[in-house]
Amino acid sequence: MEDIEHIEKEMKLIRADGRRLDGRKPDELRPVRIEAGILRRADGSAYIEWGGNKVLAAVYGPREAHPRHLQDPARALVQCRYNMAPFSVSDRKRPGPDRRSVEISKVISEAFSAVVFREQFPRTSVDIFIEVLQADAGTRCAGLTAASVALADAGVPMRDLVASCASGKIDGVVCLDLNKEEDNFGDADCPLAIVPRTGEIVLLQMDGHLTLDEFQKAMELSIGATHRLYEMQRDALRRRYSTTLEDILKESPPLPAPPAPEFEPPPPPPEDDFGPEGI
Amino acid sequence: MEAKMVLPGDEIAVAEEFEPGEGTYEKNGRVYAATPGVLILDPANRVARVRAFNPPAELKVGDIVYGTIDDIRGMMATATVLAIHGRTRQVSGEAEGTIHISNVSEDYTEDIHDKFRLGDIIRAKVIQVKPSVQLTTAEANLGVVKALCSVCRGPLELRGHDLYCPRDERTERRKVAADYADLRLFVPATQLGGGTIPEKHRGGRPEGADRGGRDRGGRGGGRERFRDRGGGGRGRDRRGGGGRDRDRDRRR
Repeated sequence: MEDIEHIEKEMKLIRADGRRLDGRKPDELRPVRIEAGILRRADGSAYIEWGGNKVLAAVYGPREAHPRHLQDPARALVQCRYNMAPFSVSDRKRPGPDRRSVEISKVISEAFSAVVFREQFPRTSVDIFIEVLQADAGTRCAGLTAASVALADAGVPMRDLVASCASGKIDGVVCLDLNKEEDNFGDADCPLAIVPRTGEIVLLQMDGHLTLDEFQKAMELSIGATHRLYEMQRDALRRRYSTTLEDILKESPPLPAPPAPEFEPPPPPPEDDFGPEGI
Repeated sequence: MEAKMVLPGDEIAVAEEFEPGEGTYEKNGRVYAATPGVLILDPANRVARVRAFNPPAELKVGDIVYGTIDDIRGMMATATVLAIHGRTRQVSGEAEGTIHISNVSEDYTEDIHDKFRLGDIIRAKVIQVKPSVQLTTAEANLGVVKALCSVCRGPLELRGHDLYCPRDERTERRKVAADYADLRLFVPATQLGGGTIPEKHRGGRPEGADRGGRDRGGRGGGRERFRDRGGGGRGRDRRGGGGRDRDRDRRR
């Protein structure tokens, strides 16, 4: 481990042509793919692949809050569990909550508390589970972005989706969406989550130091990226429900429509790379 | 009119034109979608609604539900709603329902213990959700769907109108559902009487008004709630008064 000090001096994170080690430009995002509704048991679910990150998100509820003393008679709780699989990083991570994952769970649940209409479901809790299967820096942003899709998939009323992305500084250059090497050997990392329609910031953290100018540049990059991610989230939801929409169109009663039919067979799971059983 | 898919945060109408209904919210004079679903603009009532693709399983008036009997008092039984017919999602929100003795069966109920026992699994219909959940089993398809012998806890078989325990060779009385022992769990709820509200519980409101009312007032507009309580209270007083007398007579 004492080698890290040595490596840090040697590590060049920006190549001579101004690109990063993985060939990206400083303002370039890693490739992102989002899939909604992939877990059958969960009320809502999503899977995201973001560069080397692979994250599953599942949402249950609103359901009766347990333990009972946590229930709020006026509104729903938004509870989140961020968890990294032992195999998600190269050195086996000891399973179970640690200081870092408890913190991430807390900030993510607070971010979602800001958009969910909690007062519509008193005494209940909305439970969000984020499982990191493979980590490559920026897992809280990936998890939050996926959880937001899962939350919408679960039909939980919310003001808008939440999109999240990080920016940081490597070799003195402000860059978007750091990967593992850049995060470990870079100077700063700054995750951000916003409500894209209104521009409200629901999560903002910083690890390392940025000057005001650098910070402003980082925010500019992150906010631009969250809008791109927002479109990907919406696209994932559209794909998820396009077959459902066709079914509704076929059997749709003339509008103005009466209340929803009492019994609706669950829509067939979307045919995707994971097969009909999900992952 | 074409069905249009909307996602949370989509602007769907202007507040001057449409009131925010189910699955929507209003902000700064504009109406936005709150959930992924199909947009329904109702120009006649000037309400914009989003019919959610995957709505949370909240109890609604007219729902057919399954639950266990937790408590039996003189005038009522309490049941915990475990599932809604036709939904796989866990029930969200208030799941503790009461069945008044007048709603236990179609005909007069002398003693509620002849109709339910603790631990019975029943199929019931929701007749009120505000201010408290009220259930009824006073229909042929409603009532006990699974009951255990109170002596040996073995399953009871249907024999005529009563339930029979082959081990103890005794019969027990229940308000059994028409399809006891051969449950129709996968038919649409409407075939089990779902969606209709018995005349005496309607309180002069058109069917489905409860849903619309709640949405418009953003969950329980003051006017709707007041009306609800007024109607329910009157009914309960009348029935409760009769019940007490009856109870006293029997004890003597």
